Amino acid sequence: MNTADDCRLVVNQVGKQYGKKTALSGVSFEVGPGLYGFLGPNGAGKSTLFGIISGYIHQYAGSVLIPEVSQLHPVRVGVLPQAFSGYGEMKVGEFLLYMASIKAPSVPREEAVKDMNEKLSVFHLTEKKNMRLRTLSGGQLRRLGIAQAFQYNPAVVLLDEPTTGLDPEERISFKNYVAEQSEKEIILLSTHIVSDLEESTKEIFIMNNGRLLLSGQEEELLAKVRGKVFLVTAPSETELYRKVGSYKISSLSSDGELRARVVTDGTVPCPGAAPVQADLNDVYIYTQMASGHQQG
Amino acid sequence: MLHAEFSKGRKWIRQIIGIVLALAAAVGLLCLCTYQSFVTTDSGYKDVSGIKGLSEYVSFVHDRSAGIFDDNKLQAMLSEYKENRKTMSVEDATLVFNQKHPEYESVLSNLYDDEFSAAGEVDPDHYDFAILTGKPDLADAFFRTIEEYADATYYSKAEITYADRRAASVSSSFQKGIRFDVTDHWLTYMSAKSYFSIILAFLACFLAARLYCSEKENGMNRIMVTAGRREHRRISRGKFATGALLLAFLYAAGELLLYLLILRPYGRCGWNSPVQIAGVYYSSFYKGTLGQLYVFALPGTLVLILSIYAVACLVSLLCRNSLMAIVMSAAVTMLPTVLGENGGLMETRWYNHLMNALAFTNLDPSFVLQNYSSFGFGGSRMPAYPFAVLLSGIIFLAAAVILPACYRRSMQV
Repeated sequence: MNTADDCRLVVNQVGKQYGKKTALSGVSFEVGPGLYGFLGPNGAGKSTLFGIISGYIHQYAGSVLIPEVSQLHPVRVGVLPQAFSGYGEMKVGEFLLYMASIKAPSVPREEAVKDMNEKLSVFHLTEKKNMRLRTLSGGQLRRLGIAQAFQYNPAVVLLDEPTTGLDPEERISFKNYVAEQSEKEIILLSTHIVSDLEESTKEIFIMNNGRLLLSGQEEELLAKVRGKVFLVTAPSETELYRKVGSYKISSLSSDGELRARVVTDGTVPCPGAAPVQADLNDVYIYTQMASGHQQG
Repeated sequence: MLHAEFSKGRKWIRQIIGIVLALAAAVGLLCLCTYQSFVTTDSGYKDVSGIKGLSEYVSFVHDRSAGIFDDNKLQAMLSEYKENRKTMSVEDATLVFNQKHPEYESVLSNLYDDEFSAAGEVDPDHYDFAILTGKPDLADAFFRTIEEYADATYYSKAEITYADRRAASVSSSFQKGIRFDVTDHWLTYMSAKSYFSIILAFLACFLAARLYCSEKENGMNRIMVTAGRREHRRISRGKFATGALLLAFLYAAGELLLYLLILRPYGRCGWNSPVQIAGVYYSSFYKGTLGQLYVFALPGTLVLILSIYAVACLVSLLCRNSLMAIVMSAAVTMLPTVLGENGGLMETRWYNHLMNALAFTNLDPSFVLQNYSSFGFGGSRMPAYPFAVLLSGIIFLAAAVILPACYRRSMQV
């Protein structure tokens, strides 16, 4: 029987070419149970990487080692794809039982029903059990997608943009559940929303152009941009962009006047710019800047 | 898995059942409504059409022609016709003959028309009757013609020898007398059956695409790939069985509708008539009755449709979306037939043999026995239709084995 120590996901020099286009190149990491965040713009290679780990992408370079099925993890991999629609004509409960029968056919039906009820309860779908999937709202469908990804506590869970369509309350609930599950499962979470990863991730991977640009714990990453983030204020947009120049804005807010967080190479962008504490969003912008990617 | 597949497609399966049964009824009614023929009256010919016309025709012909038809009766009718020809024109002699023997008119008046016989030209549609009745002069003309064809493309020497042997066999049975009866309703039924089968062939392509491409279209394949190989086999078997069962059910229900619409009200006679009696089978060497043909063609057509479905499933496995799968499946299963019929390829022997083996070609029941073309494998003749059904059965079983083995791979990119 596998123990938590045996539960390691090893990705070794993984690459993928689509014709002449390189979707993924030389990606390597090894992780144990915990939550791991993958940040990167569209086309960075996150979905390709998840596709390879899940087995969706058949031919690729390198190797991927996934923990075997064990009593603790009757399912090896659980997946929530970026676009999840399920089967519109199935009922919620029926859908979960069907997915359970595919993922772990050897698990007795009573176990499947117990697991289903638990997931319905966690994701606030108990009342929707007998509703058809096509009648669910976007947020409810997303929660169902997440629920099926966690069926039977898979050894590895791949969540591609899981919080899209979730309201703030659901997002918090999701974060709490993921944090709890990450103690015994390897959870890889791909997102554009940096706040999804704050405080709960064991390690963050920042990707662009099919490569891993940066990885590390939240604190390590924040240290890389310390002293490189400034708050710039201006009465108008024109004035703000004049002040910021060629540096990148990581976030913008308005409080009578415009307030922008600006990421630089350490240079003070303009007179009056005040250094501020960096957050993950700044790290993300800094990394993209460093890799030459032009974000708006 | 069967239950799961039906659950996934509850809505569209219900819609499909409704649409197909409505189409089956529409096809049956359309064939009845467009029925056209004529009956002879004292003053000449009278056109009859539609449902009422068919009823009228059935009553008219059945009263006069039904019964045992043998060599003596044939000779008596021929003498009568030839006697009339001495004093009447071809048209008048034909009219008089038809008033008395309506069902035989179309065959005999052409066969024994002096002008045709003198020129040695016999209407090819009536060769069968030459064989059926064993008339040596007409049989000779028939074989001369197919030998000429043989030199060009169509028949092989082995086929001619076989035809000769079969002709002798059929002729001998004719000496004992055959049941001759009204058969127009058979043509109406066969026509409706043919259209309905083509509808099912298209449905087979649609079902295959819907079942095998839906996961790839809605992104569920990204989740499904995480399941084991054994589960993928189960899923694929469930999908394959769902489509096959649905097709079998719709075929049975549609056939029942056609039976109730056409054969039940009009098919009270003709079941024991030889197949040659129905116009479309003039040139068949088959010895069976229309009733036997009906019983044989019922499961036969289902096997043909299932093989089209099996091929469509294999094609759909390779496609990423339903529309592409439907177009590709239709092209693979139907295009050879369409090209053959419209592109002149039927003139080449290899293509003709290929056509005879195709499921879609044989969906037209008139093809079942009409040509009885052979494959001539090893010089021995094989009946085309049974061979096509056998081949279709093998294709279906092969697909049932191949599909589960390849299903998981088809979910991946």
